[in-house]
Amino acid sequence: MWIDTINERNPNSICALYPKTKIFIVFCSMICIFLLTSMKIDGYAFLLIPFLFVIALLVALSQVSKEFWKLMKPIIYLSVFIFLVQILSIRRGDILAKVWIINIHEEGVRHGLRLCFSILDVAGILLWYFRVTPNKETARAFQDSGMSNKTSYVFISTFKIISELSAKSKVIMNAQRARGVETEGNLIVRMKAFFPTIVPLVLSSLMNAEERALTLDCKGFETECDKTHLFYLEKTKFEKVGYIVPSVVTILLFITKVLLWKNY
Amino acid sequence: MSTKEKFKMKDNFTMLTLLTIPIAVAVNVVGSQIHRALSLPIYLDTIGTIFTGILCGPWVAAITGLITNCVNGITNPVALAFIPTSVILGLVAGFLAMHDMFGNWRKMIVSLIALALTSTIVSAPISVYMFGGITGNGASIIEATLMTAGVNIWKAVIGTEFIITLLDRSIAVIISFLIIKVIPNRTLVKYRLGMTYIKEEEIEEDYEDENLSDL
Repeated sequence: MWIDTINERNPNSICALYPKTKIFIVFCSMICIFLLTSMKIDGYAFLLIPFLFVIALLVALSQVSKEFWKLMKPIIYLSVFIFLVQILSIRRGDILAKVWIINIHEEGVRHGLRLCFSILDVAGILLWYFRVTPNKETARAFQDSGMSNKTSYVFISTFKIISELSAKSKVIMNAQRARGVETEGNLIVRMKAFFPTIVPLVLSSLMNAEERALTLDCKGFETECDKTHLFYLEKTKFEKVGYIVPSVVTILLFITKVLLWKNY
Repeated sequence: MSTKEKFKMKDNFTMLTLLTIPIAVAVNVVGSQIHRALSLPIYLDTIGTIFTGILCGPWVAAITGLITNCVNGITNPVALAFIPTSVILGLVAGFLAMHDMFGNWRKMIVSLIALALTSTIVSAPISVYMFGGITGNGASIIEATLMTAGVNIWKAVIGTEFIITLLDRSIAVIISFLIIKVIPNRTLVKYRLGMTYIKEEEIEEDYEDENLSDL
């Protein structure tokens, strides 16, 4: 039955956790990352690097490694770029190394390391959350905890529309190319092709939005009453584990920081 | 006696506005993807925010900016730090539109400078204190070059940011007005500030077409 196919849950027990538990894991990770940036060994925030391995382990346990690392690749390039620029532009502290005519200063490496790995860690944990939780589960969890159906609608439709719009933009670009707009060539040519692509794109989406508003009004979207749902979300038996493990880790980390890094 | 009800905050968020917000966010996200793919110095991620500001008012634009940075923040956590910039930009664009500050070209120039100044003033401290002036976008190369040449970090960041932001907001405003020009009047009227962009002659033309002058 179709309704059973919608309500299929992921067999992996981490993926099947209730979204609130997963958000709690993300929240504890953010606190841990924040604590780790201030737990410096010799001035360098090296402890952020093992945390990246912890995130990689979590991803492997959730069996989403392939898609996760595909999405992490551009972020890794971004972090490496930020690290390089920080090393090259910050000129305080002792000179650690000399590459050709460029001096690499201590402060640059410290700052770059901290920034690069905190970006990787934050992006990693957020990407993990969005890989293991389909948007409809998040929206349903928010609705169950009292958020208005309008807000959860904006939330789901944002993600859907982003992928729809990207696909539509390719169609529109092909259509404009057939009409004679140059889309290949140097940067200036491609920038000039931006305007005739984006105006029809936004216009067609807005016309669509107007009709959708009428449809939702007809379906009683704005009426204040109990709504029925096609998709059911139940809590699994591992919820307690999902709450206890991150809390314990965060509290232990906090105690370690207070005891060993008193001066920071 | 006037029976006009006071315009409440929730009146801002009509069904149509709630459906326009995701479109504006998607335009912003697609714009920032283009910005990262082509390594352009201009950001292109505020088109949707300014568009909603011009049509729907400040609060809707602020929410659009907030959601845009949250969505961009998933794949680029640097964007999460610049949430205040987007929110305040939305508010300023909306308030300028409410006072019809995009009416003629003189007011337009003042509005563009106001938008660029607000963005620069809000994002410069975030950029300098959290990221040392380098946030990994195209402008960072220019700023890094200036800082390596010895220019003070604040002057490098504010100077570069202002010029690039001015260019970026101008493009965003131009695109927004191009879109508003082609939206049919019957849709424009449903938005809070839509009436500002419908010319008197067009209303009269519509009436003439429907022969309502016979009534």
